[in-house]
Amino acid sequence: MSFNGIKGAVNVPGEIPWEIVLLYFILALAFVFYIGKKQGGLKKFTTLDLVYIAVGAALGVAWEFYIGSYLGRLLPSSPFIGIGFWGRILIILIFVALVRKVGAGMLSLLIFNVLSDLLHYGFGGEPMFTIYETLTYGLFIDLLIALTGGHIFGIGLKPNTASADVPEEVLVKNLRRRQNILAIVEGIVLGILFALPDPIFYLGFFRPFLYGAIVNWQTVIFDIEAFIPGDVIITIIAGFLALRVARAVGQ
Amino acid sequence: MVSWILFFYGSVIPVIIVLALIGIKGFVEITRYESGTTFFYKLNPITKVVLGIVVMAVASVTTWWIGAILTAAMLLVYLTLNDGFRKFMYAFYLFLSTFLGGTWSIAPYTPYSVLQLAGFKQFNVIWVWPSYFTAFGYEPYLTVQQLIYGAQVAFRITAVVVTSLLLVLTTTASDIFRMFTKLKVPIAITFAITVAFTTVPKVFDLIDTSVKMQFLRGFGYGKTAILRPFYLLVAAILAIPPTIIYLARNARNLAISVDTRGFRAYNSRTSLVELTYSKYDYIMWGIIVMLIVLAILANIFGFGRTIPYTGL
Amino acid sequence: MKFVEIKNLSVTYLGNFKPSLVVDSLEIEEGEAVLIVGKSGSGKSTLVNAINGVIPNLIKAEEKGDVFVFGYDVKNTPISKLSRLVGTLLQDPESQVFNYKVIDEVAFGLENFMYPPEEIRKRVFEALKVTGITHLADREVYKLSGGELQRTVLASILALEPKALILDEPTSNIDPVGTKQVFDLLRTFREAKKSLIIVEHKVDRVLPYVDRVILVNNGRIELDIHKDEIIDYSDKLFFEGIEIPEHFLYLKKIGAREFKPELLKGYVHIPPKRYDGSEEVLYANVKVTTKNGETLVDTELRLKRGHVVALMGKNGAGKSTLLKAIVGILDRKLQSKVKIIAYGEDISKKNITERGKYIAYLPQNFDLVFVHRKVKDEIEYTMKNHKVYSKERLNHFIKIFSLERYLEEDPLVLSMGQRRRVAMASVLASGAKIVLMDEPTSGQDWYHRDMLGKELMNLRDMGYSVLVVTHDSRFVDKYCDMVYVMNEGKIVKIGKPEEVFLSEGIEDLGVYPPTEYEVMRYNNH
Repeated sequence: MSFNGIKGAVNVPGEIPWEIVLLYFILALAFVFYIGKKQGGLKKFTTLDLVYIAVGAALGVAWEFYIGSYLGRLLPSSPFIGIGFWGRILIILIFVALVRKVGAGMLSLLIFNVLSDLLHYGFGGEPMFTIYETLTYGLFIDLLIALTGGHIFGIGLKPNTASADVPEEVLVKNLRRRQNILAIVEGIVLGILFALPDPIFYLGFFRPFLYGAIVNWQTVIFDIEAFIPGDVIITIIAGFLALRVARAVGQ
Repeated sequence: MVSWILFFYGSVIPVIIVLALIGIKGFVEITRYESGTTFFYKLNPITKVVLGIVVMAVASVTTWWIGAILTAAMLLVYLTLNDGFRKFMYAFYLFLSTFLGGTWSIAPYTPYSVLQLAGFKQFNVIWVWPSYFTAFGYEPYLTVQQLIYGAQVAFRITAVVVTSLLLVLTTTASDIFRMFTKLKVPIAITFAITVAFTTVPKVFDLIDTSVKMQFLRGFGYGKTAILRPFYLLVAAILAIPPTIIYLARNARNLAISVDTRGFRAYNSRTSLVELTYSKYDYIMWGIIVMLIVLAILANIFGFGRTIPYTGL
Repeated sequence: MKFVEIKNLSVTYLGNFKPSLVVDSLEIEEGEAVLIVGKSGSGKSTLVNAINGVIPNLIKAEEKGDVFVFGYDVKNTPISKLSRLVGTLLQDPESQVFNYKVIDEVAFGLENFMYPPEEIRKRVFEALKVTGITHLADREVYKLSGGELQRTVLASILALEPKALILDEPTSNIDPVGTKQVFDLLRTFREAKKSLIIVEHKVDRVLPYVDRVILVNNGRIELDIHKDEIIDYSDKLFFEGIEIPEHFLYLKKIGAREFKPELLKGYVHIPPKRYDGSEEVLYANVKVTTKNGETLVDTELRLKRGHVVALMGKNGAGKSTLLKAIVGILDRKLQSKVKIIAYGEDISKKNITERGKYIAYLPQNFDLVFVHRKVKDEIEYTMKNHKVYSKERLNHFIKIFSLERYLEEDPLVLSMGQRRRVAMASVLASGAKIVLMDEPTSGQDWYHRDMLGKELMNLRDMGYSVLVVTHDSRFVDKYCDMVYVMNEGKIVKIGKPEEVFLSEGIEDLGVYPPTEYEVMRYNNH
């Protein structure tokens, strides 16, 4: 059975069983509601948080559809390079790092998706893509925020003032070193996580589901491996840039 | 050598078109509302969003030339806007860039199996790529059919892009806010979308200033004019960190300003001006219904989608 | 009831070791008007943000102690509730507006409080009337001048009928005409017995409308005096970098305790030495028109070596457009006919990059200049691009702008004054000796403007020629050799600052002389 070329195929060889995909998104959604209820939902975001998220989304759109898309055309197309995605995720991470509340990642991806629908896509493929991106990339960022206690890339950490006779400059220096290390470590974790959704969900499920494509697990594995280096480097850079921006705005 | 020129310049031409003819400031004009009194300005934003969705749907379920006609029709609408010819030209350059860029980013990668699915039976090879080009994901040969296929897919994209920007150019932030409020979207999300919506042109404005400052400071000094668009692109990328910080610093002002005027005092808001549907909306709804009928008829009479989605 | 009651307040921002503000006790009565002065970063804005609830509701900071506003504990009161009691107007008009049309902006707060549409309409038009902008109701906000924008936001605040207003540097970013319009409203607020807190640098202009003056310095309230005591403390305020007019200091010197015009009979303002400059280094003949044929600029401009010239005039007179046309960064949609001769060479046909070698330009948003992570790299970038790099040259600029301590720092995280100096060093590093600056005094306190003035004098002594667009007449009087006044796209008046300031009808051209000149005029009559 198919409609307009969309096969709705769920039994393509090698395809991730739809039950698993559904389970993932149900669990993710349950997590969102749990966190939302526990932390006060959208109310816990101050207006400043919302402006940061909005500005991040706007810059992300300006990058992905304009500046980045032109740059992308100058570079060879391969799984190793994803100029549009990199720029967008880098910009969004910087602004999420200014908010540092669980949910900021998902909200950022949501606003980015709605904005790109208004400006570019005309809501094509919605709401599927918004749900997919929000509950993968957005959720991963939020998990990291939760795990770091709201101090993603070490932003907002206080200097270790245990010993009173250490000069202020030294304390600041130590804090910065700690933040830089955290930016690298968290960048690696996040970069690896970011490399997963596209091959696993898109190549492994949506493409066969929508278009009846045959899953090639070699390509899925290759794409994951190919995405990792770039995504890791970009998220580390995002960490450093986020630290820079946070300092510039006095956080 | 020719392969490399094609490889680079196939993609570069759209970049040159946009950066040389529109410039970064042009993006401000193509993403910012300016008041006007003609038909499109009088439409309820919901009508415009629905039009965008329907154009997207029609372009993707019908044959490529319907997408092309839709693109042309929507482009002509730009002429009716305030300072219409200028906006039309900008939209046209953007269309051209999207079209050429879209075609070129699809054509060389499209395998023959996909072309066969799209109904192509004969393949006329016009260029043979070096074997190592397969590493970029290229097919071994470039065929006329690949280019036609790429162009057909591109029309699916251009129709939507051209229509979406019409919404942006003819709708105020206040009306976007009212639209989402009316659709019962939570106020926090509505606010963030509206702020994002109005920030896009600001981003280009700031990047433009930063880029000009880099040029004044000698970036690209002594280089030939033909390289200028590339310097412009690099300068635009370098302009992003200061733009981010500038916007992040200013974010605080906007937040204080709206919060000290009672923003989110309640979960909803009232409105000075209610969004209503006028006779213009009914005309547009008529056009929208016609578009849907057209899509159905096209499918019945064999002008349905001829190109698969694979490769997008 | 008291408007403000503060006890043992301390505010420490995230990542800081020390509190940015400590207030042991502060009370402001209902109906009282207070002027708060202090240098940038002294803690003034922290104080008002602790009063209107922005801290801790919106800005993350560790707050200790108590702040009560009309009896409400600010810490435990939502900012939306406080906003019905206290309205807040900020410094930068553009970044405060959110809507597209004036009427929508004014209605914004009322819509948030869910007033019915007919009530919104009624209040909006009342507020528009009070602020004198009824005629602008349907205008687009981005087409308004700074003064009109500030009045739009004020109308939006007044529509909520707050009992008190906080005006946080409301005129720092707007032209003198807009400044006058905002100050004129202060009288209305006083008549309506509104409680007022005004943070302002223009002490002499605001003084008639307030009861008290508070000096905030290094995060503490250092002075809390009745306005009649200001003469007594004028030297202290001046010493702390506050913009105090010269005749206040004169009164203090002659032992006067209060401000009376007859006591100023003996006061004479002696302008500083003006330099004549030497040979002409820049000639510009500029005509800029819109696509519709409207002329924005049609004028000639000449600049001499070793000369600091101020370009003054109303908003929209064409000052910024003239500067942009000279350096070649006009908007594409504008049409221009430009003849530029720099150092005897016709550079009209040269592009931006080449013109940068002759003319340096500092935009108002100078933060957008920075594209490197270190101050040193930022300055080197210009030199290397223009192929004029040398270690000595680098050190030369580091020394001129006292940047030795910051070479390895990120320019974007420095203080505003430091960032401006890095930006200036970065644009001048091209080797250009003609400097065009677009409103470098805007939004800066007197301490930083004074510092800028001294730097310009230094540059003049080294043979630089400076054209500075500014509305700040006191700065012009103190540091500029010549004033060009622009009106409707033409330079209509040229003269030394004192000649221009004392000329008839100068206010009509949007130039408001420093109050020292008003005193001189008064004395002359």
